[in-house]
Amino acid sequence: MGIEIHHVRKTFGSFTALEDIRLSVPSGGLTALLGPSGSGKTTLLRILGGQEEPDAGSVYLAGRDVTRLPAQQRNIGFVFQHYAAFTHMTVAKNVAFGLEVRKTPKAQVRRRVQELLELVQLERFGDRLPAQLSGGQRQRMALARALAVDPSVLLLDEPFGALDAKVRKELRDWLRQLHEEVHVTSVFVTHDQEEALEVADTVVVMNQGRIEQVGTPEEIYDHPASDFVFGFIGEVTRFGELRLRPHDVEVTLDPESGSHPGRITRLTRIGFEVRLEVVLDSDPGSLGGAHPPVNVQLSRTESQALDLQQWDAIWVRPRAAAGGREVEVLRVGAGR
Amino acid sequence: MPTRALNNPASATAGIPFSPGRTRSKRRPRSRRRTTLTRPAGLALGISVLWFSLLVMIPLALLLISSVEDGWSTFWDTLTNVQTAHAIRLTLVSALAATAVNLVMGLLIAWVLVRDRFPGRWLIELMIDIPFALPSLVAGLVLLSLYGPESPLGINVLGTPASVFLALLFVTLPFVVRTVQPVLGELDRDVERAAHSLGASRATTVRRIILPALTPALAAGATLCFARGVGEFGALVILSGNRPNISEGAPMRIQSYIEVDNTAAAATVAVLLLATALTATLLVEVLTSQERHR
Repeated sequence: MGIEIHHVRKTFGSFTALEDIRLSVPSGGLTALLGPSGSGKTTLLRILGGQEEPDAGSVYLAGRDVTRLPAQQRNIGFVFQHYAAFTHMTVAKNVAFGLEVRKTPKAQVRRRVQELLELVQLERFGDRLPAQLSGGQRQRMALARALAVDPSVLLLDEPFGALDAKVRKELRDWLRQLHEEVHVTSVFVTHDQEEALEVADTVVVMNQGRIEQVGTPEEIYDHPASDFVFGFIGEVTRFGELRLRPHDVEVTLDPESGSHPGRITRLTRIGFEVRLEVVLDSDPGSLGGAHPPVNVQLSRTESQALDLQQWDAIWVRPRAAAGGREVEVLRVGAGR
Repeated sequence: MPTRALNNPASATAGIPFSPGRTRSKRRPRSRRRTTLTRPAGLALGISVLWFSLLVMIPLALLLISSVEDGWSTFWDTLTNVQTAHAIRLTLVSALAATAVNLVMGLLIAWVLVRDRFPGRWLIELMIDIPFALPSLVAGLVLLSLYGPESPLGINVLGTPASVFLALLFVTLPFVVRTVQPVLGELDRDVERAAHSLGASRATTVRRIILPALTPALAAGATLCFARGVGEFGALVILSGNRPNISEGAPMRIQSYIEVDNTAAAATVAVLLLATALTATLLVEVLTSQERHR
């Protein structure tokens, strides 16, 4: 069941927002649509939500063809980036709205609203107006409001995008836990790869109106299906003909097999992490042109063990194994 | 144990702290200091008050005094005079009716201007302000051409009570449009989408989401409309024909009292009109601010 998307296409004038999208989202999962702006992720979500109609193709929610069904009849919950709170209603009234529209008996509405406010930890805030809540609280209210109608699918459009970093992190953990409690099929849109990898159990990477890869966060990170995914999902640095993650570069003080000499031109410490910029003495590959500096990511402990300082001469090489896994490397220019 | 952290209040409130002290102070926005006036600000306030007094407060007070300077009986007699009472009633009823129509039409026009894109939109946008820009005597002439004795439509309102209503409709047209338009434009469309996704029909969304959001703007527009309607003179002079007990409006009574040098009676009618307009303004202010602070 879950969500089935068959050959969906959507254009806005001459711009192709979605090109032949096929996707099946398992029921009960928490799926992230991840991509840069203009990748079509939001358009796809809005098509699921009934806010846009696809030019071609069809959409099934929980086994029902909803392609031409207006949003009102889809039985979905939708959470917006900027909360979309009903500002003139109290928090409790906001949550009750969907139930009242469905002519649910008053006593039942009251019970359900109480239940949901407890679920989102706003039980003391029922009489407040949305303007009296913080951003994180408003978004939790919006979640309660969307969940009130027992939606078959919960859709979230950049749900943490308007929040500051700390609250965003908290709300992510919280959403993850909420989803464990309320097993509703959920899809959220994000452009933040860390958010997608951390929160979702399935990640759909999109680019230029197409799906690049679908997989678990581990699959996406360890086995990117394309150059684009590899570059988008995490930081990338170049070593000769290889592209690899900065934390997959090994630093040694003495030459090892396959290592290359260079000099640390910049050393930045960010909390537990140390970032190096290493200019190599010569190009280890044969691509020609100027070789860009190699970016290296080390833990503070590693850096201290080697006693690294700026302008130190060191040796670098791709790590043979990162945490027991095969290193994933791709050739430069090896397009799709 | 899926509920562990969700029910753990410590993790729940971390970073989204609920401090009763802070929320209480939020509810009481007034700061502890009784004034924020610095010296230049004090001077500015002084000039404002002086200006306001010379232009508005003192003349108003004098008007109030002159309305009762011949005693309360003159005040009362003026208002109970059959012709005057009729004129006042006609003005108030017409102004109320025009306001009611304007609320509906103004909202409709504002909606079309904000939500729809069509050729000629800019023209309508421009035309809306014509009743503002025209001297109201000219407004009367304009209306007379279509609804006068030589009406191509065969509708002649000249000298009928309906002429007062029509004139007020014309001159008060822009108020609701111009107060509602910016608020409607600022409304977050996602709020409507949220209502739709929760199962609300378009009608329900308008009734429960959009109209409440527009209420303060509608109220403000209606007040302006009513106040302007009560005081309208120029268009009425041309269109109503000033027939006593039929189409004569209250402002015309003021003029005829002044013509016969009965200042007290003129002031009496003026005070009544003023009081009505002020009451309306105040009422709307109280109602909408209650709505806001509910």
